[in-house]
Amino acid sequence: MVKTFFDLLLTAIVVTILVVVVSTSSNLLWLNSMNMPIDFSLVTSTFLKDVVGMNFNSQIPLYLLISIPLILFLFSTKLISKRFLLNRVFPYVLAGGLSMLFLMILLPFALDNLEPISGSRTNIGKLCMTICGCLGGYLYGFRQIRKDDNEI
Amino acid sequence: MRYSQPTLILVISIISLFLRSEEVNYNYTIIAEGLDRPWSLAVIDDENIIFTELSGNLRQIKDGKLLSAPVAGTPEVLFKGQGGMSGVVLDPNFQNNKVLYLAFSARDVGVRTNTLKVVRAVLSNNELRDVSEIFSAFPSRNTALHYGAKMVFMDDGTLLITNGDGFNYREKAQSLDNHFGKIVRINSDGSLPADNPFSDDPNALPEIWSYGHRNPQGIINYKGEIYGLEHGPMGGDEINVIKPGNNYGWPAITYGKDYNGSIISPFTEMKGMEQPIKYWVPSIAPSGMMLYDKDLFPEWKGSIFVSSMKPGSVRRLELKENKITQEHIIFDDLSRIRDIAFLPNGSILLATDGSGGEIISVQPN
Repeated sequence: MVKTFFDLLLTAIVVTILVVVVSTSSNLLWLNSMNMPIDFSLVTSTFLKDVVGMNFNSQIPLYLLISIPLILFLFSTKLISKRFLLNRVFPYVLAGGLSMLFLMILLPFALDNLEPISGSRTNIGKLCMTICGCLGGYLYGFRQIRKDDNEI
Repeated sequence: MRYSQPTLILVISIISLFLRSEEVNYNYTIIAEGLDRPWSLAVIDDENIIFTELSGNLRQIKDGKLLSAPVAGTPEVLFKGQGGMSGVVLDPNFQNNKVLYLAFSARDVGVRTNTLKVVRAVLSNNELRDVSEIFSAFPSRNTALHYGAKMVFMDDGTLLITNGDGFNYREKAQSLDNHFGKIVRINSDGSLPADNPFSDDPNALPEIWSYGHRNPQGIINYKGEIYGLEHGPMGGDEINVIKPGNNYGWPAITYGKDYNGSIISPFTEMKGMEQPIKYWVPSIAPSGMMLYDKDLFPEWKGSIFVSSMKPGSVRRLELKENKITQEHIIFDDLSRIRDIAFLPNGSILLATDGSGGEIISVQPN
């Protein structure tokens, strides 16, 4: 149980970092398209500032925002997988992606169409965020299946 | 006679403290109360004031008394988020033609989008007549935030209208094919002036006067110089000198951060983008602006006044040759202040924000 909980938190951290990567990248790509001088050191420093800013200086920390649906979806998938003896990664990948999609639909719905994560305002951004969720789901599913295999 | 060094420092400190403080005694008089989110003030004369309530009303203070009934015949507004009945400005010839202009958010017909609109109307007693739409921002939006919605007349009789970036559309403030994050200039009948800066550019909307704005919530004309007040994100509120065709940088350059804590832009300046004459970090949530040009408070003559909501106060900014030299915080014992204006007699008018808002007159003791 402790390991499952640890894996969930680890997955949430990884997805949060991936979402920051997408958000920072989309912002800097746009600035680059405006002929602003973007170089590697600026990308790195902006990414690090975003990781700190979006998690510690935000009204709602990004980590918390992502964790709630992600943990809910992944943990539910684990319970369902155990019940139906599904020993595959795919359901977790799907659950991770759906959790991000759910978040991106729910947030504007709750906030009068406001999109607080700037990287998810475009369809490509939403797709990238969903892929982040899928990758998180893959990580979690992989670790769960490996754990289950070890227990057998 | 010899003084010890600490005594001298103490005396000098006390003297300098007095020199820097606002040595102006004033008192407040509430002239209207129980208002529903008063938003914008327009002064006819010392006893007659028109103001908007965000919830959709236009109201009058006539002969010093608030009329209980709102002005009839106002257009239907979308009262949601930051939208509603917003800016009001009087025609330069209002004393004769009774024409006024209203900026408001309006729902599009049959769809879930909305936009900023401006109408021209004639005020007859407590009713609007001959209401005609003279501007509609393009394209529409699906958010109810960042409308700008302030207006001012230029010396040549053309009307400047501020339009915010709609929050979700901030990058569009940098392109000229839309009205997001722009100040537009039109004639008072809605037609286009021939000398707008982008009127010959086939890729630009011809109404655009300046661009790269976020949420311009104040605009004033002082002896032909236009000053714009920008409500920034987390930090980055600005005062800019508005010139035709200029790019004010949002969101490519900014002193603020996003509400989600992320960097909007790592840049604060760039060639071809204008710098503010004043900016605030952290944010003061500015809401309205005036340039005080009366003698009732002689110490304050020539200062820019900015009403703010975080915390509720007014910033008095000493202005010399388009540079802000000093900042003083005044009227900080009231709540969030939504707008500021002055009467012809020199008294200062404040509108406090929220339901239960008030209009307060400030006079010297």
